Amino acid sequence: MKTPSFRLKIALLSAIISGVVLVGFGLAAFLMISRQKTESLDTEIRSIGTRHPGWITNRRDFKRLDVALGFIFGEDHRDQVILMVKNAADDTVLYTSSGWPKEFDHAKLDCTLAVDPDASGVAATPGGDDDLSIGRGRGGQGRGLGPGGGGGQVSFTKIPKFQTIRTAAGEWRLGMLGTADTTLIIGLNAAQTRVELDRLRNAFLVALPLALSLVGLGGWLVAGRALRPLRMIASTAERVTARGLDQRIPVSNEDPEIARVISVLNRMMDRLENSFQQATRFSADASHELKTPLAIMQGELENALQEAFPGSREQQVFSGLLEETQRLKTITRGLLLLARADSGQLKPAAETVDLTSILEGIIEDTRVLAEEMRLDFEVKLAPGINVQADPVLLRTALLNLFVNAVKYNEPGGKIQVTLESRASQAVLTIGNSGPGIPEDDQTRIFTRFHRVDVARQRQVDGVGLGLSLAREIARAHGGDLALQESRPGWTSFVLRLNA
Amino acid sequence: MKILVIEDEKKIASFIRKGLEAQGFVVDVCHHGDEGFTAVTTRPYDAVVLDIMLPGRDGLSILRNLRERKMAVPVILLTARSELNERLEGLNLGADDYLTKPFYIEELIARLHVVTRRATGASQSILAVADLTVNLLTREVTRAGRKIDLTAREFELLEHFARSPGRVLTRSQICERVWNYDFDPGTNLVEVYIQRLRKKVEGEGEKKLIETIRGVGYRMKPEE
Repeated sequence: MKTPSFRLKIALLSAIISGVVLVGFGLAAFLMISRQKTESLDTEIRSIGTRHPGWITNRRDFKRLDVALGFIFGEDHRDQVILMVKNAADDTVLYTSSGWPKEFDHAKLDCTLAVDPDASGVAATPGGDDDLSIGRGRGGQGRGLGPGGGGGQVSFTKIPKFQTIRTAAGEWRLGMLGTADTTLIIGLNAAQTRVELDRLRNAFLVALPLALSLVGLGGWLVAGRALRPLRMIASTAERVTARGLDQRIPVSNEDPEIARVISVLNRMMDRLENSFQQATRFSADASHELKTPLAIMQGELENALQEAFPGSREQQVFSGLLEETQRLKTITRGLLLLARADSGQLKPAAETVDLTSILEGIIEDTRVLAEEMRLDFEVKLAPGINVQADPVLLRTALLNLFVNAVKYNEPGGKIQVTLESRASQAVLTIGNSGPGIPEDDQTRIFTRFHRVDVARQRQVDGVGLGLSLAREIARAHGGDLALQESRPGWTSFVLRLNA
Repeated sequence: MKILVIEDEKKIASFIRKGLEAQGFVVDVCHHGDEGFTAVTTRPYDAVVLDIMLPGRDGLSILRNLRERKMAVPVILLTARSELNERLEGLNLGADDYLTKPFYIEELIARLHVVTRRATGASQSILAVADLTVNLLTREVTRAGRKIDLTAREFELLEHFARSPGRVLTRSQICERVWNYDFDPGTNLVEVYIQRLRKKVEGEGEKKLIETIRGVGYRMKPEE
């Protein structure tokens, strides 16, 4: 499977992280809000219980409390508030308001309350019967009992207990408040709270995916923006491969982190270019410096050869040395060409060259070269194919290929040459029936001074620069040289040049 | 024929002088650009062998100055560089030929013959060795009146020998001169062509012209 792009990963990752955080926050907020809502119900229950002391004085006036609640909550108070009074000692019901949900079994309620050690006994004030003067706020919002509820307060000596119950009709919050002998159970309708909480939850559930996709999109955009310098670096690196080490990544208002990477890479490229240039210059200088002594050796040997007695031992020695000088000269020229190619200075002066006729000449010579080995030629040259090339360099490249085709052939073998025009390129294929290049060697044949050792009697002469030189020449012309195939009995190279 | 060699590398100048003198040229040598320029502008020469890198005035500026003064003396440039651009620059400035170091003396001699012949007209367009004549213009070859048909390569090979009878040519020299190979292809290319040439040039009962020098090369037999 393909690795998803870094950009996509960033986008997904930011969405996931924000998702987790948002869900966490949402849950916490939801819990806090729902708890706060519940607590405010509890406070109200407590205050209802505390503000109506009447019932506590005679333990009979529960009905009055119910009526008072009716005033507070309005006509629909049955749906809003319920009331039950129990005897603390035996859990018998002393009073039940008419709104109490029948389907709810009060026996399930655990009404045992612990004694509050901080409470100071019964502080209920026998007071006026003016409960009805308690604030008359109406409606859901007005549940709070108004200030100035006269007539004193009931002190509950037991720790109150609160509980939420669900019935078919709705949800109730029940508060159990206890004096020494009586337990007052007040229930407030929690449906409204539930609806609000549900609305909150739904809003969150709708907003979450929206927020996440926004974050994801943002991550995608930010990652794209952040990765732009990376793309720039990559494209520069590509240019370095294609055009040479003098390419640098432009430093333009980048963030400090990226600017640092760019400057480090640029400095690395500087050093690379430097050492590469040094190596190339060394190789070029060395070849260049070799030329003068070589010229002197060759000239002196040539003169000595002419002066020596024909066929004498001296003359043979001079001749042998002269041949070696020639080899040195060839290597020197090859190295110089390669050094120039490496430094990108092999810029051939292009002329229009008739490749077909150059090849015809070379093939004529190659036939003679191959006579001794009785090689069979199969030549198919498309007529009049012109290329833009430096004729001297082109000849060098071609000669190397043809000489190899003879050198690495088997006696009685075959050489196949095809030249054709394909998509504004001249394509030359040279095949020979040699023993083939071992697989390990196939990648190395273009390496300098590399020579394939062929198990054969005849010693193969040469210095192993031919193929790399031919390839560099082809590339300097905007073409290429490649090994097309090599198997026992057939090896072919393909040379492409721009027409 | 009088040749001026302007070359600062003394040993190179020395072997050029030796080689040319052996072929009957009269040679003057200058090691400095300014000195060379004075010599070429004040004394008559049939040709100048001019190095490009020189102390003082460099080769290309000497050449430019000569041509600006309408002096048509043939010039062969020598350089250690082989870039086509430099080659073209030299030729554009009016050089008659161009040799890249290292070069064979024998090659220099051949080119000197060509440029001087070009300068003096067609008087030397026929090479004659014994009863063999090689017409460089019509590319006709005759031996004792018998016309001989040669391929282009064979003609070049014969011309090469006929230019310097008596001179021994090694295989690589021939390769470089006739085939432009700057390496010895390592097989019998030269040998095969020499055999072919002999078959055509040395008819039945005719004297041998091309001699094999064992372990060295070939030469055209000097006239006795």
